[in-house]
Amino acid sequence: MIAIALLLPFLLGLSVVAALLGRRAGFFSFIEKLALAFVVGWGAHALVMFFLSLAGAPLTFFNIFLAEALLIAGGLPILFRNAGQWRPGKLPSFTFLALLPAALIAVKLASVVWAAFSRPVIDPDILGCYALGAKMIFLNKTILLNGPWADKPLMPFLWQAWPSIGLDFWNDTLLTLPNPLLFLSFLIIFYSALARHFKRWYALLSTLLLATMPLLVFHAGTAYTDWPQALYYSAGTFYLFLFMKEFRGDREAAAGSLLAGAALLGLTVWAKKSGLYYAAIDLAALLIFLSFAGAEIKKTDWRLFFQSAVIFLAIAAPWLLFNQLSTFRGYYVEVASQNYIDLETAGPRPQTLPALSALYRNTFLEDNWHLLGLLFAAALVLYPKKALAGPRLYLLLIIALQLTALFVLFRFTNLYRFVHDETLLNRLTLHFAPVILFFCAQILGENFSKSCKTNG
Amino acid sequence: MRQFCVIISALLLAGVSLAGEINLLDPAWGWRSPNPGVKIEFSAAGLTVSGTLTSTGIVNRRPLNFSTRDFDLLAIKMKTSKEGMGELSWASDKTPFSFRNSYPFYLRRPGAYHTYYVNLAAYDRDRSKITLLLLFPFSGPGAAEIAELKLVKGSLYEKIFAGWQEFFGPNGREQDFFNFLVVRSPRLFGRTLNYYVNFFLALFLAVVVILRKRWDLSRVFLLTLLAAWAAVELNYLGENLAAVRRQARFLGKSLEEKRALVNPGDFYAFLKFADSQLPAGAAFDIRAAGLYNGRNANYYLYPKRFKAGAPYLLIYDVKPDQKTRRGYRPWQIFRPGAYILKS
Repeated sequence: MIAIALLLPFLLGLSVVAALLGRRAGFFSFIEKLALAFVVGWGAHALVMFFLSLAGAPLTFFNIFLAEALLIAGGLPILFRNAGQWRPGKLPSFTFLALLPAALIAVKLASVVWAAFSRPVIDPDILGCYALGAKMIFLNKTILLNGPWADKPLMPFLWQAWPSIGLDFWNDTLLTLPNPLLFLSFLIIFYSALARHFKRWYALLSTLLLATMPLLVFHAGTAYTDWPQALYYSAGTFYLFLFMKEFRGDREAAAGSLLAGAALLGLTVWAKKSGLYYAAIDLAALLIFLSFAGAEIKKTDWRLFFQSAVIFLAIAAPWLLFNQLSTFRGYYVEVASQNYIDLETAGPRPQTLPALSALYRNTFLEDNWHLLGLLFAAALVLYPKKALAGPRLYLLLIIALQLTALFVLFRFTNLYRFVHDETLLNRLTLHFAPVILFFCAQILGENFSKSCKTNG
Repeated sequence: MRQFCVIISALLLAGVSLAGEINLLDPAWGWRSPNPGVKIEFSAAGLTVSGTLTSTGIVNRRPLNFSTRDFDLLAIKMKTSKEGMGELSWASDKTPFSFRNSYPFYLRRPGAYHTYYVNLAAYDRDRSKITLLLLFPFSGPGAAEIAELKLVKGSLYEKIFAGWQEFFGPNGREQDFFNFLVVRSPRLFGRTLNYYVNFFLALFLAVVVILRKRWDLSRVFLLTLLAAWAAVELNYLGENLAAVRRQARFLGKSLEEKRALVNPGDFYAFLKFADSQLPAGAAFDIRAAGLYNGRNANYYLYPKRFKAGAPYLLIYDVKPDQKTRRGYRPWQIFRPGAYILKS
C-alpha cells in the first residue's frame, strides 16, 4: 500500500508533465522528467484531494484513487503520442572519480530516509499544527472543518494525511513519506539544470554541495513546510533562469523551461504563505527580463507567455480564492499594521544592529549552509563581470530581492521578535539558499567549462 | 630569568593556578532549584542534587558578581548517576539567562568523579559581571554528587582541556537544546568552527583580490574553499552518525512503542489510559509537567478535543492549585500524580 501511495502521485505527475511539456519534453533528460513528474505529481495530488473535498467527496483512498486514475488515463495518450521524447537515453558514463560524490550523495539521502521514517514526529510545532491537521483530515475525510491550518496553505496537511488514508489507520511515522524521493528529485533537477550547459562532473560536484547543505538535509527529514517551500520555489527559479538563458538560443527548450517553472512556482503558493511573495519576486525579475528583451520577442512567444500565466494562475488561484485572499491580509497584518503598533509598547522595538547581526550569524557562524555565504561572496568578488552579465544578472536580482525582503521583515516588522530566538530567519533563508548555490555554480561553471574546452 | 620562565611554564603545564579561586560549594551562595521536586543536600562530601522529574537545574540566590577577567574558568568535579548531557547557563549584570549564555557538555562515565571545565571568559565577550549560574548536572531524572564547584583563573592545561571538551561537546553534534531549527557549528574558545573557517577564507579571498593583477590565485582559493567545505561536512557527518545512534533505539519497535519512546516517562501510557476512560467526543483540559505535554495530549487524544475549562481535567505530575481544582472531583487514577478529574 505504501508503494501505491508513492506511485499514484508519481503517475499523476507523469501525465501532468507530459501534458504540460508535450513535444518539448525532449529538451529534458530522462531522469529529469521522472524527477519533475514526482515533484509536480505530489503537488497535483494535493490539488486533486483539495478539489475532491471541496466537491463534497469524502477523502477516502477509493475516491482519490478513482479521481487520479481518470486524470492519469487522460494524460497517458499525450505521453504515448510523445513517446519518442520520453525514451531513456544512453546511460551517461561517469569516471570512477565521479563515484565518490555519487556515494556521498547516497549517504546524505540515506540520512534523510532515516530521519524521515525512524520515529514518529516529535517536533512540537508539527504535533501542534501539521500532524494534528493531517490527523483531522484523515479522521474526518474532509478539509472543510475548523482545522489548525488557519490561513496556512493546505498542501503539507494533505500530503501528511495521504499515507494514512492509504493504509486506513493513523501512522505518524509516515507523515514524511514523499520526502526522501522529493529530496532525490530535487537533486536530480539541480543536477540536470546544470548539466544542460556544463560538464557532468561539474554538475555532479555542485549537486554534492547542495546535498550536503545541513539545514536542507535536516528539513528534508522533517514534516515542516519549509522543505516543500524550498523545493518548489528553488526548482521553479532554476527553470525560470534556464528560460532566460535559452531564450536567445533555443526557443523551444526555453518554452519547456518556462512552462515547468510556471507550474512549480504555482505550486509554491500551496506550500507556504510566503510562496506568494516569492513567486512575485520571480515574476518581477521575469518582467524586467522581458522588457529588456522586447525587440526579440516574437509573436509566437506571446502565446507561450499567456500559457505560462494561465498555468501559474490555474494552480495558485484556487488556493488564494478558497482562502479568500487572507494570505494578502496576513502579510498586511504581520508587516504593516496592528502588531507593529502593539510591539512598540509591549516588546522590543526593532533595531538595525541586532537584525544585521542575526543575518551575519545565520550566514557565517552557524552551520546551516556550510560555507555557502563565503562561496557567494567569492563568486561575486572574483568574477563580477560574469555575475552581472546575461541572465545571471536576473538571478542575482532575485537573490538581492530575497535578501532585502529578509532584512526588511526582520528590521521593520513584527517578525523582529524572531531575531532573538533564531527560529525563523534560517528557515526563510532555506527557501532560496539552493538558488544562491545555483547562481554560484552558474558563474563558476562559466570559467570551468571554458577551461575544459581548452583542455579538450 | 631562564629558571624563572621554566618554573612558570612548568607550573602552567602542571595545571597549577597562581591566582585565587572562589569556592561555590558553600550554602552561603543560596543554591536552590526552581523545581520543587529537586533535592539539594550539602554534606562533607559536597553537594548532592537529585530529582525524579525532567528539570533538575540549580541556581545561586546570592549574586556572585565576578568578572571573567579575574576568574575565567568554572571547574566542576562531580559524579553522576547517568551519562548524557549537563548544561551551564549564566546571567550577568548586562544579560539575562538566554540560550546564547549557555554551555552544554557531555557527561563522562557514570559512577566516577570527573572534572568538567567551562571557559566562561571565552563566552563573556562584553566582560560583564556574572551574577547567576544555572547548572543542570544532568538532564532528566537522576542524581549527581558535586565534590568541587569553583571559579578559577585557569592554567594553560585547563584551558586546553576546556577547549577540547568544548569542541567535542554537544554544540554542533547534537540537536540544539533550545532551538532544534538551527544546525549549530562546534565551538572552540567561545566561537564557532565556521567562524574560524570563514575568517581564514575571507582573509585568503582578500589576498587573492589584492594580488589578482600579479597572480591569479582564484582557482587555488576555490579549491581551498572546497576542501574546507569537505572538512565541515566531515564534521557534520559525525553529527548525522550521532543522530543515527540516538534513534537506533526505535529499531524493531512497534508504532505504539515508538510513540511511548518519544514522550517523556509514562506520559503516552497515561494518554492511552485517558483515551480509554474519556467518553467518545469528550472535551478535556490538561495540566502536565513538561513544556509541550499539553500540545502532545491535544494531538494524541484527537478526536477528543482540548478545551480550556472542559469537564475532564487531566493531571500529569503537577500539583494543581486550588483555583484549578475548583469545581472538579477525582474521577480516574492512572497512578499517584497522574489522574483525571471530572467536573
